[in-house]
Amino acid sequence: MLWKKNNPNRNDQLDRVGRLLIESSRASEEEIEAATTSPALFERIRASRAGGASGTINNRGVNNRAVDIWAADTWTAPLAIAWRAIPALSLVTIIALALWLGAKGGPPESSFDKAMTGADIINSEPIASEPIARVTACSVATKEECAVSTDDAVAILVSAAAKEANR
Amino acid sequence: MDKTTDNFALATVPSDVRPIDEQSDEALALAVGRGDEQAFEQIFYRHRKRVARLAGRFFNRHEKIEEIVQEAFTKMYAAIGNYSAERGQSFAAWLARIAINSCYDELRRMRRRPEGSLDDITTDEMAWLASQSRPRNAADNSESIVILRDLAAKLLARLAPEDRLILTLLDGEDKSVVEIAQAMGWSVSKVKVRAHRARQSLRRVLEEYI
Repeated sequence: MLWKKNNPNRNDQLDRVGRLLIESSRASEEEIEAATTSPALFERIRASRAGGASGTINNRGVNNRAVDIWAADTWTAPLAIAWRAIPALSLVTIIALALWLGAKGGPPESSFDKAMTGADIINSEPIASEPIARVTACSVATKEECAVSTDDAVAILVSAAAKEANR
Repeated sequence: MDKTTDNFALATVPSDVRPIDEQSDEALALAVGRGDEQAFEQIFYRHRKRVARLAGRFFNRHEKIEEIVQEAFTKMYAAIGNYSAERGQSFAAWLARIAINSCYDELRRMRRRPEGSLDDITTDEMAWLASQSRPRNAADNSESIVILRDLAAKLLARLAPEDRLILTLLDGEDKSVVEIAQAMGWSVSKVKVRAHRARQSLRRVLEEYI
């Protein structure tokens, strides 16, 4: 490999092939003729001028401005991505915050609470607010004075059912 | 023929067979700057081949050449206010500079969106490259020319856009270092350094096969 790099004859040979390739890469006269005699070419240039100097109209008549923005220099590509990503992420954050604040307004009732308060499963509105708060608080307490016996629980349920029946 | 008659004659002749007007490029450029559509059309038909030939140095498909011609003339129209003949640069040279920059932009776009099929070197192309290790073997028949054209597109696509631009202008267009520096707005020393690096890059690409 070192021999290859330092050998002037080798470099000459590679340069000769390189020149041959560059010379061969040119378009044929027919291709150039086809490109310049395209009947719609001038009209497309006119349309592209009207569409804005920085935007170009491609062969299908589509403005390439958006493509140009994305295919700009490498340092501008992240800016183009940020241009779209930041508003999208902000929107998601605002929605998430709104949902969280909305949920914070009323804590969810556990199924045990519902059973103890007699709240209807379908219509989740509690039957009475005052006794429910007291009972709910005591139902989770471990203190002796706050403990609710089975009889008390049954009495509360019966009274709640009676109130419901009276309605 | 006075100017009014001349303009009338221009307007009545079909655009694709219009004879070249006697006005200079510089005078037409001034008229384009004032919004003269006829002058722009005249410039387009006068210089389209030159621009296409330049684009054809870098791209060998007519669709791509057409795209470059379109882009170059659109940019020319947008920048016509910046052109001044008093700066010593001819209109043709100024337009060539715009066209070269359009080609350079396209090379950079292509570099970012490489075409996968270009990476595959066919058996015929490998055979051609192998034959180049023998001295004095050049493309001397039509079959070789076809193979060579496809191969050139594939191998040159592996170069950095700057390298390809410099080598094409130096070896393909026979431009001098000073001319390239003027066209690209680079310093002469930068062009020399880039040309040296470009040759090394092309050698590295070719060494893989030869």
